[in-house]
Parts: sequence; structure tokens; C-alpha cells
Amino acid sequence: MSRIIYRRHKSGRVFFIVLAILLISFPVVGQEQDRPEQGGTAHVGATKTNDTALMPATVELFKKHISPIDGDRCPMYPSCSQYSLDAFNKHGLLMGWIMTCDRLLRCGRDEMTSAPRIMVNGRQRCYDSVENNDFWWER
Amino acid sequence: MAGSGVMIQWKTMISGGKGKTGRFLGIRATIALISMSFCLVVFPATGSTLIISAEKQLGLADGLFSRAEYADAISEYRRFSCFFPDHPEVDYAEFRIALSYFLNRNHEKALTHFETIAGLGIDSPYGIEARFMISRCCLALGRQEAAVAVLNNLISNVDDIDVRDRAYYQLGWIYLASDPLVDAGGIDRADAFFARISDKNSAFYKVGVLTERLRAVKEDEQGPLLSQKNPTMAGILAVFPGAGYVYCGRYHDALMSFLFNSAMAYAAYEAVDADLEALGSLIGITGLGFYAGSVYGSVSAAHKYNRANAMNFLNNLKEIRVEALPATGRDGIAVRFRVPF
Repeated sequence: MSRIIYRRHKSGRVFFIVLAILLISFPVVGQEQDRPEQGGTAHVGATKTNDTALMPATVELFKKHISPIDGDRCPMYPSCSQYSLDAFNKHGLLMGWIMTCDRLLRCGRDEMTSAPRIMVNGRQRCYDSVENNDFWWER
Repeated sequence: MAGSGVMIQWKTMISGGKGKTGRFLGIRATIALISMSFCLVVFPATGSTLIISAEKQLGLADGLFSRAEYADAISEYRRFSCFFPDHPEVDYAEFRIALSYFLNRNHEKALTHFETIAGLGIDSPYGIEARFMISRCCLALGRQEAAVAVLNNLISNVDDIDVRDRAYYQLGWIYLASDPLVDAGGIDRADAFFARISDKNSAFYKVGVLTERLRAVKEDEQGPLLSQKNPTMAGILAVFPGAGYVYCGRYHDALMSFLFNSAMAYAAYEAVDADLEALGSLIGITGLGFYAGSVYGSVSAAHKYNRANAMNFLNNLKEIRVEALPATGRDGIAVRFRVPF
């Protein structure tokens, strides 16, 4: 009985930590949407990510400091990090994060047989852009 | 300073300076000046004179157009229209300007120009061609309904059977190829338009082969219609990680999704169980993103599967497409064939 109560107590704490993380994240979602006024010139994807946004900054950190050491190993084009930035830029934090996770799960597997191949810097890669994955809901 | 020095010297030469020598120099300078003026005025006139005729100007513009240098071609066609406004080929030049914009993928400007040409009336030299091109511009701009309306309007205003057949053919293709997905409704509508093409032109447009393929695709188990994946079903199945990918035939992605999501869920559980709530929450949120990504990916995979199937079918069908393009010469319609071999 005490074990069950203890577990409930723990799950409550986990719930509050999750809630706190989400509350920290969502104001960033609210800030990053910078939609142009009607009739104005739209940026690609009609949204612009705030440079201080948490996730894009993390991806930039990866691109600048980890990727050069790790090497250019992504078999897809654009690379997963660039795809992630594109997704954040175009769709904001929530959808950008989901699309990034989706891409990381798919990278280098079945997409390689179905997506078109292109040559990038003398190396054949599989073309899988954000537009290739949001065409069914972003028209 | 140097400039003022030259001026003083020149003034001295013109005025003759002082004394006989100066006067002599002044006369020589005047003669030299008159000679120079004479050369400047007379020699260009006596040299070979280049006269740009209307044909030369139009030839230059056509040459640029045929080399796909559309921006330059537009300038030269404009120059032609400006310098030879009464020439009978002005309509042709205006049509070529619009066509250059279209081929340069500037569809908005092309549409504006074609509308101006069409505004001259259906009986004007390029009135009918302009209407066909307006339809194509609308299609390129994603305005399918407008593209259809323009052609329907043309059909109702023209008695020429060839023009009507061409419009029916173009309408059929609008319903077939404008959407990334092929659906039964679109195929039926395309089939209906192809069936309206007269016997006179049915062989030319290969109507028999087209309708046969369209009807066959409705019964083909592996075709783009019957083998379609249901994106909603893929999303529902993806509640169990990997099942959505299996449904779409992506087995490697399915395995990765299943293993990764299971591992993340287990890691989160273990972390919480070991009183590491913060770590558990972090892993849980990260895992939640991957879980949502897996659901999203499954739905996306179903859409991509359907699109790839549709594109494959359409590409095969386009092999027998007859393209009636606007004239590349100065009269008539040029017809381009693409026949498989």
C-alpha cells in the first residue's frame, strides 16, 4: 500500500517537472511566430524563428561544434541538422521538433530507396527536404 | 592647375599670341580646328551605315528566344514593338513577350500579358492561343478552377472542331495531373473530357490508348487507386510504435521506431523508478517527441507512398501525351510528340 502511495507521489513530481519544462518551452513557441502582415513580402514558409529559441540554438550548437568533429556522415540532403533548422524555421518549435524526431528515425533507412538521389559535393545523397514531408498538410 | 595651363596655351594659339610667329600659329590652329570639325561631321556619314530593319530586329529577338535567353528576348521584342508599331508582326512580338515570361516561369506577368492579348478579342491573331496560355498560367499558379473555366469558356465560344478538341484534351490533363494524387473522381472527369474529342482528332491525341489506360488503372490492384494507403489508418496504427510504418511497407523504419520508442519508454520508467525524476522527465519528453515523430512519419509515409504511385502512373501516361504548344514559328501551331521507344 505504502509502495503504491510512494509511486503516486513520484508520478506527481514527474508530472510537475514535465509541466515546468513545457511551460518554459511554450513561451518560446509564442515568440517565434513572426508572420508578415497581409500583402507584405513573406519569408520562405511564412514564419521566422527567433534566434534565441531553445531548440534551433541547440541544433546550431551541434552544427558549429560537434558536426565538424563528428564528420559529414548524414546520407541525406539536406542533412538532419539542416533539415531540423528548416523545420523549426518553417513550422515553429512544436512541429519542428516532431519533424526533426521523425527525420532522425528515418535517416538512412527506407527513405534511401524511395526518395530521389542527388549529387552533393561529389557524393550521392538522398533528397529529403521539409517540403517533401509537409506537402500533405502545408499547401 | 594643369587644366588652366592648357587653356592659356589654347587661348594663345587661337588669338595668335604676339608677333608674326604667333599669328602664323593661330592660323594653323584655326585650320586644324576646322579640319577636325569637318572630319567629325563628314566621315560618319560617308562610312557604312547600319540600318536595322524590322526583320533584323525580329530575327534577333527570335534568336534569343530560341536560345532560351528569355529576358533578353523580351527586351528585343519590346524594342521591335516600339520602333515598328505599325508592322504586321507586332501581335506576334507581343505574344512572344508573354510566352517568354511563361517559359521563364514568371507566370504572374505572363498571365497579365496573355490577358491583354486575349482582351483584343477571340478573332485576333493570337486570341485563341492566348486563352490556352491563360489556362496554363492559371494552372501553374495553382488556380485550377480558373484554368478550367477559361477552357470551358473557349469551348462555348468557338466552333472550330480542332480548337475544341484541343481544349477537351487540355481539360482532361488538368484533371489528371494538377493534383499530386490521382483519385477516381479525377480519372473519371479526365476520361469524360477525352471521350468528347471528335473522331477526326482522336487518333492524333491517342484517345484510345489514353482511355484504355485510365480504365485499366481503376482495376489494377497494384495501381495508384487500389493500392493506396490510408493515412488515417497509418496514424492510428502508429499508436503502437512501428505498426504505421509496417502498414506503409517501411520495415526498417518500423523496426527502428519500435526499438527506439521502447528504449526511451523503458529508460524513462527506470529513471523515475530510481528516484531520478528530473532525468526521467527529460527522457520522457524527448521520448514523447520521438513517439509523436513516429506517428507523424507514419502518416507522412502513407501520403508519400500514394504520391509516388500517382507520379509513376502519370509519368507513364505522359509518355503518350501530345503537347500542342504555341507556335514557335510565325504561323500555325507547332505540335511536339513524345512517344516511347
